[in-house]
Amino acid sequence: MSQQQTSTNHNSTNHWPFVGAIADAAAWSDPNVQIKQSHEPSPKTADHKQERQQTDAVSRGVSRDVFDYDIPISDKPGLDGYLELIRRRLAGDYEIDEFGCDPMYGQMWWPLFEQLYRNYWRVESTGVDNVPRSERAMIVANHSGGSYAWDAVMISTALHLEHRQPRYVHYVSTEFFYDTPFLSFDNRKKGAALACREDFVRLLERDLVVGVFPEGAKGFLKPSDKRYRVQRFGRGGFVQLAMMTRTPIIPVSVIGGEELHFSLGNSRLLANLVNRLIPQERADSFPILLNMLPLPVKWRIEFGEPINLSSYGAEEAMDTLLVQQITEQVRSQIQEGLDRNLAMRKTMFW
Amino acid sequence: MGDQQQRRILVTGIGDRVVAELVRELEDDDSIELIAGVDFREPRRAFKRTEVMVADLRSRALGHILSAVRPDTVLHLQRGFYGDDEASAEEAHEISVMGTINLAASLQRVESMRKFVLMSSLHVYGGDPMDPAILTEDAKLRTPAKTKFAGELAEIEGAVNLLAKGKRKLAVTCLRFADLIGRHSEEPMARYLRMPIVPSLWGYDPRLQFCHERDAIAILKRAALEDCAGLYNVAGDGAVYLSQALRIGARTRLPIAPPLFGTAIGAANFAGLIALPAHHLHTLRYGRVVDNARAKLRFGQLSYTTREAVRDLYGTWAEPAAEFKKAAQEERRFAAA
Repeated sequence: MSQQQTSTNHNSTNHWPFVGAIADAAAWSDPNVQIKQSHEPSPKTADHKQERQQTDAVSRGVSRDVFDYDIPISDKPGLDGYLELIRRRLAGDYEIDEFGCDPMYGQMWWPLFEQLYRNYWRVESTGVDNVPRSERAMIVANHSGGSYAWDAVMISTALHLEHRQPRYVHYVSTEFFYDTPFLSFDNRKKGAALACREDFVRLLERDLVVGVFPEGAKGFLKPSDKRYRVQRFGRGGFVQLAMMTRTPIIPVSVIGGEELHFSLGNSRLLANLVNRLIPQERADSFPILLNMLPLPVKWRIEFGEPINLSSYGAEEAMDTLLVQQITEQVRSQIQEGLDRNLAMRKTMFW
Repeated sequence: MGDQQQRRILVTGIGDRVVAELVRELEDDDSIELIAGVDFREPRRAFKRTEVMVADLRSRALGHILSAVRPDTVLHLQRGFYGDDEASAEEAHEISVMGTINLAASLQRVESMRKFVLMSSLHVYGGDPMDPAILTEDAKLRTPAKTKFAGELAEIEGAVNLLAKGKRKLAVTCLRFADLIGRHSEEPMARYLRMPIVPSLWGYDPRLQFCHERDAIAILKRAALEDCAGLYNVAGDGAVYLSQALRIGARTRLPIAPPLFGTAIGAANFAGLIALPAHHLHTLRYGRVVDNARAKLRFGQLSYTTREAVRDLYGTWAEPAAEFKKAAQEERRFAAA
């Protein structure tokens, strides 16, 4: 990862002073990451400046919800800004939305996620600009992980780092996450909601980007021999909701997430054990992983062409056959994307 | 209201501090001919012209009260839990549920009745990880209810809804309030949040929503005087995490592992530090946030957002609630006398 690219990306997103404040912390620890405050433009960034002005013009044109990306918390550059941030954090002087999305909490993780994205997994993203800049969109991807939903994290990071107008992805997840200690608030604070009709529609009505993994647990706990074979897509509820809200579906194929762990399969015994140890835990099955730490595999994320559903409405959403057809179309597009990207990759690690 | 006829109002639960405050505001309204208050507890406040009666809503005395007062509006503000030890859980159930059923049944016979206002609570939703992040009035209540109190509230709301469907077709307003807090509030959540070291559930950080007492009083007053039949979720805008609320108040959080949390709260209750009924344990695990759009549309913007209400609770809100301070002083004097 070249230093040049790192700083370019930062400059393009730097017109929110708050990003600078957080990212500054990363700069202290990591000399590779160079971040400039928007107040003190670096001398060599004449063209970046122009680019930033353009982006500013774009962001002025559209109305942005503060929770769509982040809140500019302080206008002070450098250390002062960071101190201001800590002060406000300790005083509880920050805003969350009704979903519990806490933009500052999400921001806290960006330095780590960026390191993983650039240096550990060396993610290559294509077609990022298929995600619209300000309109609503639904990201549908193959699920993987085994231990933690790293695919969700990497899709968010890709949009954060590579998109011209960084979008924050609000994932919908099952109730399991809201009854598990620590995951419960971690998910909420990162902007996730429950995978139910009400939350889904409400997020889309706010013109946000919603992320869905229709494979669900089947995908998350996929044993290694089934990797990159997209499983059945639930009952197509997400397609119905996309039709009703006229949201384009963006099929995303994620390569890499399914090879983080060698998974032999799933064990009910292990799940029962976990359920005993953690009260209120309701795991059905638990993966048998050979390695605990995720492997440094090479990732590729392809954002496919959006599937436009604006010609449909609430009536067509009741047409189950049509819904099934579109669901299958999304599934096969993701599978095609996976196959295409697998062919492009030489080995698992580069 | 179209017709400028003199109103006769019956208020239940007048022993409650917030309700007493509301009644004192209603007393200043000239369009109200008569205000009568009923509670099984002695009210701790003096009133200018309100007739206060100590009676149990389950008793036959209710019939006599109704025939004497001949109310056209009933504000049923007697809540099913009490911050003090005056009523145990079973008693509270008896008093609130059976009292409401008896009241609703008796009101069917009262010719003058036109309007019924019920003060319910958002605890009626219980709390469940399967609940949507933002609950609306249209959300179905879970059966069986997740907590005992949620079941009781659902029962109460059901009994009151029968009044709207019954022979007399009363205008029924049901207000589901978030937990009330305020600077001098003695409500369960207010006392819990005010503890110097606050026990919380380890691994959970619930989203909470509050309604400021002043907003609650203002909305109840409007509900008493205006036509606003329907079901409303009343809560301040936005939400706070428990951790955030405690940071606002500079309180220390003491995380307690889930199996021991109930015990810890029970111990604090027993020691008299707080009086947090069991249904709050559910909220402190899963949190609850509702959509207040319908209430805002009808009653206008609430003057405190959830975060401002929390700041007022801890006395860090810039606007000191002057009249509340005065009222609290007066109450203390009255209690001393």
